[in-house]
Amino acid sequence: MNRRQELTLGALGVLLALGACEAVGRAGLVRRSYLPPASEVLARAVELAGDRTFLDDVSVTLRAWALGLGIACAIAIPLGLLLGSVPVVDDAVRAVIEFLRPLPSVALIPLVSLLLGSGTETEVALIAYASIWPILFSTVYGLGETDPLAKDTLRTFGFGRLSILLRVELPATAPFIAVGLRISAATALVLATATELLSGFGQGLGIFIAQAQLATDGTRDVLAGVVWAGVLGLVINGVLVWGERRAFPWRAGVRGAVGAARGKSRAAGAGAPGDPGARRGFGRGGARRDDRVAARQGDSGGAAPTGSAAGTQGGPTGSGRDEPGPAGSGQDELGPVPPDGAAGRPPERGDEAAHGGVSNGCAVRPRGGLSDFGPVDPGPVPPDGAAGRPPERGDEAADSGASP
Amino acid sequence: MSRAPASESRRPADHGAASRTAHLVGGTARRALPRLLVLVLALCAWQLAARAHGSVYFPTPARIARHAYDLWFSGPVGHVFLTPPAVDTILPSLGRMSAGFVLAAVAGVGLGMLVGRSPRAYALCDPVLQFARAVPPPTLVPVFVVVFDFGTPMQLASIVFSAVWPVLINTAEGARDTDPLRLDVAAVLRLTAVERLWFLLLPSALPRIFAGLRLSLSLCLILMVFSELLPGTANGIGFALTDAQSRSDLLTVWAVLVLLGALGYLLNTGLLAVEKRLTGSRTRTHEGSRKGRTT
Repeated sequence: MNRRQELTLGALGVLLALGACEAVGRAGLVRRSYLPPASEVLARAVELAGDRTFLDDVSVTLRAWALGLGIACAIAIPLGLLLGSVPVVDDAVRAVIEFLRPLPSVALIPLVSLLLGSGTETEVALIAYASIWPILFSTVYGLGETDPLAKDTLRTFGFGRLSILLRVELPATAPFIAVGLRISAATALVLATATELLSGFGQGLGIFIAQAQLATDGTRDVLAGVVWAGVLGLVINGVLVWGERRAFPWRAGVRGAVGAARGKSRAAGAGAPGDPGARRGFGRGGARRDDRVAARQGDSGGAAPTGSAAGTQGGPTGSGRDEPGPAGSGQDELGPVPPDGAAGRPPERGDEAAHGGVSNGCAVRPRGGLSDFGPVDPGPVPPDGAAGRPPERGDEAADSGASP
Repeated sequence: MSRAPASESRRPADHGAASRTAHLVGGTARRALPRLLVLVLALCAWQLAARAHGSVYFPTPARIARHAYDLWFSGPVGHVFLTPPAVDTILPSLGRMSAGFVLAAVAGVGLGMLVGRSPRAYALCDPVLQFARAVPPPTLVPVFVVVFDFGTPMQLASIVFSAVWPVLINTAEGARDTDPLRLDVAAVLRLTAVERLWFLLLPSALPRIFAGLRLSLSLCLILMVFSELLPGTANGIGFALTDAQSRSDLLTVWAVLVLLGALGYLLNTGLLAVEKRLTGSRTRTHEGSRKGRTT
């Protein structure tokens, strides 16, 4: 199935869903004022886009969202770097964190609004609290995934702890932080709307919905607001995914590899299931061909940084390609951590990330850190890696660490 | 999926693995103690600070614990120590949440399998699913309030409707990624559709499904509390929270928060235990390498 067919089918699906909503609304199963047909809701949503007060509401919500997320970043990234690089602190703080994390952030709304009143401060504080966890956990996880070879190399050249952190670990962790940030962004939106819905006065998208709910015949407005909230979520996710791909191109390569695995699977399914040579050939060809598709698929979930990194190594050469199982599965777990799920304390299992790459116990590390050494092309695996040996970076690092 | 090549690729590291495992066994015990110690220290610090400050807003942990005990857990033995308020507060919430979670899980896995099995169905549903997932769940609660009015059906609907997407999408992705070679084997063995689902598709999608379930669980908890926080509910943990808030009874607010934290922790741990049991070796590998990393 090519991209155009997919798009056509997708559009068809959207039309079908809209049609179903329309039919339910018009058939009179429920009262018309309870569930207006889709066409009315959409018309209202379009109308709202030109409505000054509604746009103000949205911008207030977005401002709180951005502020909360910014504060969360300012706290979580340094804290994550500290926890990830100083084991003693990690041990100490971990227990406290493990007890704070499972608390559903929505439950804090009453307490925080008693403490801070029901204004923007409350909203921002809650957003920040809920958004800290995904970023924090993916930062800590990403640090653990830094290529030890790169770290050892810098150490050999006499770089200090701090400059290793800044030159290798931070760049290598950045893609993980970006994934955490994306999860947090969805969580933040949930918290923003939830807080506004409960506070019920002032300005904001949630408040627009809460007030529309009270009006007679207000469901249409409520649903129009929901449509915009969904669009907002989609746009935020899309922008962040795009930013990730721009900022960390080596991960895009990884996605290519993931796509190659899929391409391979398809090819194998269609043609010669038994012949490994043929399959590998397909896989290699597929790497580039499917790049776009894969990137898209990766996006849909929140591609696992680990999976990506694995791709960088295995993908183009096909050397690591033979183990789509573990690599793939690792990716899977982290893979589509749907942002909304993030809603909770998703990252929660930020360790999910942790589960992710480690599954094959090796190699999957972003190679960003190396970039400081000059142009290391993440695409093709360096000759030694290409030798057909599955990428066991851990080992390599150990070896080279022993005899620099 | 071909797990064998992976273990081969791990083999070079195996000589170190044994000693690492031995180190780990001692390591976890050695690490657990300081962690507990730190937790106790943190509680003590909170206790001292709160007592020194004497703020109404930040009661001491001892008082919170005492209050929670008096409120919910000082009941007769026959009721498993639950007091009547606990029966009225905790059980309805838990009931709604577990019902919502189970419904969402069943619907999500079932639909996900349907969608994930066919590339056409997947392409058809993908945009709609992405949108459904992007909508912040709390915004939908007012819609359910209008349609179902206040009460359990509304809360159940909000929980299910927000928790179903992560499971659905993850299951669909998992089913999509089933190794085609294995599908061919299944075809050669002439497995029926049910057998194929049970022996091949479900097991291979299981890790993904659990990733979705974990996300759903935390969403369920959030939506449970949120739907009870709305004015108009009559019981539940969230109601206890708003009730205490309106009376400015901060001690109860804190007690409820502690209760929710403990509930969240327990539910999460329970789900992880189930996952570990069902997915077995895979999870263990993860745990092992993760610990290996941290040590």
